[in-house]
Amino acid sequence: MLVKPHKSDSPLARLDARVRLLLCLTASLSILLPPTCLILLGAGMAVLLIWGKLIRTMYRYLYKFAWLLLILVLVNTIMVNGTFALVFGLRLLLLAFSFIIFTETTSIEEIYLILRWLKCPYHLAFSFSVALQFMPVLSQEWHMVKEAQWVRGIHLQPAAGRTPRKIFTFLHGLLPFIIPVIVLTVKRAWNLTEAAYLRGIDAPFEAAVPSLCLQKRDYAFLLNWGVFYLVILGVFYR
Amino acid sequence: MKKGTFSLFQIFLIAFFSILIAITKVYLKFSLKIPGHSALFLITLLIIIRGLVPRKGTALIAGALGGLLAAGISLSARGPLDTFLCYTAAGFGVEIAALAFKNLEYFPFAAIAGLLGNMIKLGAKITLDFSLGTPLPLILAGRTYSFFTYLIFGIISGLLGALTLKALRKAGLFVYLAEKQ
Repeated sequence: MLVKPHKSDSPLARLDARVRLLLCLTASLSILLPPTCLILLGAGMAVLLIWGKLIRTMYRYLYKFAWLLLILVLVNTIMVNGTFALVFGLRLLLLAFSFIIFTETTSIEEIYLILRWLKCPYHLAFSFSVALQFMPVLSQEWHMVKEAQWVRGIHLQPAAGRTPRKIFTFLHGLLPFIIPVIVLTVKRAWNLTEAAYLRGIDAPFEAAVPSLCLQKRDYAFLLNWGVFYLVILGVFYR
Repeated sequence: MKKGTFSLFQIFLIAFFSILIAITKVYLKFSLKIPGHSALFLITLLIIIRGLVPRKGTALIAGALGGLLAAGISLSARGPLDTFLCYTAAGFGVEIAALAFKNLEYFPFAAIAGLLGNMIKLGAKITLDFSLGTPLPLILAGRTYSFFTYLIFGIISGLLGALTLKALRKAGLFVYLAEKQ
């Protein structure tokens, strides 16, 4: 998961983050190719997911959305035809899995390094990567605010039913939850700003950070992926 | 601070709000089950951050970063790309409205900002539908109902954003922010 502070144990995570980004971008662009190429790409992605130990994530995705995919395929079969429905389902799956490969294997530090490599301003890349570390804290704060308001007798009623009255009651109940969270977030942002200035963020020399560097295994993977992609394109142009 | 650039505090604010945008999707699930209802949090927070940090590009950056995070922490049926594109599109919509109207605390302007953000988000979804090869009649059939619900939730979330900004002003947050800038 992207918010993991440490690297995942997947073999894909050992590759350079830019290689994974390239992989996910090329794979997602390839969904525009015709069905024969999609089947080839699907096979390639399946091998990658198995090798990358991402079967659990794949299963989690399928468990959550299999019914929706089935409905989409059924509706498309009825309204267009079976072949189109299957191709549509395959495209959807490939699109999802190509990005899951990236998000599941990339750590916060790598996101920071990619942002720096993309020439993102230092302050923005730094503060985003630091703020990411506070994700569990912020979600804990949500719960604290929720509990504090419950103690005061304010409940965030689930808006079951769709009557305008219920929706209005729900919206009215949102403000006591949103405002404390925002105030706490602003305070936390200020505390971090002070801490960053105290530690010399505006110093003329940036702190040394590890830079992204392609290794032999990255070149080997890029070569394999390139050959595989050329085969797909060869099938497309034939 | 150079003119036209963000201060470190503002950058931290945007980063934290992008996290809020992402976690509200995961932690605050509610059973409305109407297309476009996610705008209640997404657009509201985008309008709030645009109000708190009145600089060009704030909503767009918050939307894109929030989308990146939401794509990483939650699974959606169409995958992370859909999540990222939709959040960025919503941020873009709010940004355009904010550039045009400046004051998002004024209810009609906020309603237009919410509407624009949510409709551009719907536009991003339709674009993705096209890229997946869905025929036009099927998209029309599927998105006609969504069009109206997106419209309504866009306006409601814009109003909610303006209401929250007014409440924050009353609570003295803007004075606090002015001291810290």
